[in-house]
Amino acid sequence: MIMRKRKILSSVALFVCFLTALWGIFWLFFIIIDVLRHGITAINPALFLNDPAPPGELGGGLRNAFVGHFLITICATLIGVPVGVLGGTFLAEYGRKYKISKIISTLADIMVSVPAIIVGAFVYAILVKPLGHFSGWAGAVALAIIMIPTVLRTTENMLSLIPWTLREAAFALGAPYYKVIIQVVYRGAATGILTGIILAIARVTGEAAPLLFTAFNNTFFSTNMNEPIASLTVTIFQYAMGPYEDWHAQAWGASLMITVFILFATITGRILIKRRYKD
Amino acid sequence: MLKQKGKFTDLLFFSFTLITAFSIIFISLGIFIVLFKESLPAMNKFGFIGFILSNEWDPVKELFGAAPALIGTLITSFLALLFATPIAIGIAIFITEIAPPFLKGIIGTAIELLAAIPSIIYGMWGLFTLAPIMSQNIEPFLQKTVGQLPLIGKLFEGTPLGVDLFTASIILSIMIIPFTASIARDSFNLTPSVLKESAYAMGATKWEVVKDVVMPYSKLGVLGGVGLSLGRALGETMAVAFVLGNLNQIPKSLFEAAATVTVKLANEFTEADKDIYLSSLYYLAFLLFIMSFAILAIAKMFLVKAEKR
Repeated sequence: MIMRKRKILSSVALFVCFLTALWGIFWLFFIIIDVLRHGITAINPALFLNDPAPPGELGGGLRNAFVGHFLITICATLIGVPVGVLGGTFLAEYGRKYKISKIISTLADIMVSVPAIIVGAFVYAILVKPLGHFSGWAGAVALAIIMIPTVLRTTENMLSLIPWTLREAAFALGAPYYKVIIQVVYRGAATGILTGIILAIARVTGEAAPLLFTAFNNTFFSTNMNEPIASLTVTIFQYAMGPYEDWHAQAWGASLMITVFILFATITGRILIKRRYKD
Repeated sequence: MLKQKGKFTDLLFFSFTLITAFSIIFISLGIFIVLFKESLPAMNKFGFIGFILSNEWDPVKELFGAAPALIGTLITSFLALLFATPIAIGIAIFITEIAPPFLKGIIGTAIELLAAIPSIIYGMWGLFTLAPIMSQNIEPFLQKTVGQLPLIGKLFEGTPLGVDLFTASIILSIMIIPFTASIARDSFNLTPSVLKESAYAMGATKWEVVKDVVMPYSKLGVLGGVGLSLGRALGETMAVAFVLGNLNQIPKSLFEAAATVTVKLANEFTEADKDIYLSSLYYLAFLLFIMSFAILAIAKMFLVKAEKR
């Protein structure tokens, strides 16, 4: 009798766990389908080819924001990826025996989760205030700061996975350490590092908070990184909070593009890493 | 000669990697110092206790206090944890113990995709889709049921507009589920199968094994995961900015608009025209940085300890 009660309790508890999984997946589909439903009606050539119309007038697009967002992200990647990869190299190779590497590693883990808006405030104080104006560069630096810890940690992990005997084989041929790292270790860990970079780009593409007070916004088309520059995420925030139906539609369109890009990048990254490290 | 050149390049490469690795320390210290320096005027003017206990926020009279924003941040984060933790643990149990192998990967990935969706999308969806549903269906329903109870009923008073603490907390809870879930899953997987098998051999049911063997064994790891989620929830900006309304008052009910530290920063930073105004915002940012950094560090400590076992 008691046994039966315990069995029933067990089934009920496990069923509840099943429901929690459904709950999580329910929200994922709810959000994605909702963004698709609203976004798809807003996708038209004008969204990509036109610059914003004056407020309240129909027919504008978000060309400036698409281009601006692309520029900021590219520049952030160009700053953040080399720093992250090289830093990770130090932790996994030259510095692996020192205590300071462990500390940096832990600090990076914490920095990964530090609020993005704090980074925005930081960059405002060191770049925007002294220069006296918002700029695309400030936005790129803010995003790069968010990228560095992520790339650094994945690089470190991926390099540590390369067997030590492989390096020893290269040393035995008389190769200096930097050559061993570049030609043997990097080659072996390339897929892993690339995945880390892709995931980091995916993450910063969706960031709005650090851009609010660095790149700011610009209603005009601009490719000058020295000036305030429009980005999709900040534009979404501004348009969604605005009073016009047309703005809302465009914000949905932009949201759809960002979501599709990020989900695509994230899934690609996952498939890449699964293929490389089958276990 | 050639060997010398190799040594020199090696030294160069070494220095590059060294400098870039230390950039993490420079950045963290830099953030701390810069935020501290920028908030000094506000610190001198309002003090610490005076700042965090005052609920004044008056740019005209130049009086600033952090109480409403801090309370808003704490309430939303706490509620989000309350909603998210049991769900996340349930998901972790489902993935590690119950799901058939082909479902494990799919469900694991699906849950982690929740973390990949950017917060601005959560905000859009929250404002245009979830908030109307909340104000028309869920919040009136809660008022009719839970709202009638004594004591806690007070929490559900007011006109349900959908743009309030409750909606913000729900969205936050969805956003942090994947963080707790993936760490809880990893900790559950660390439980030695010998332990589980001996419990099964004693005739324990699956739930008893989970409850009495797996959970106690992975306590530290799960706690670390919860801490990490809390750190995330404290600093979440855009998702909350859309649905909280940035109202500077100490909320009396969950169905009221409010402000959090992040929402205040996002909305007012570029409008701050006076030095003391900006400095007060930096003071808020500084407090937020200290809070989230401390919580994340503690969480990390738990995780390291759990891994060592």
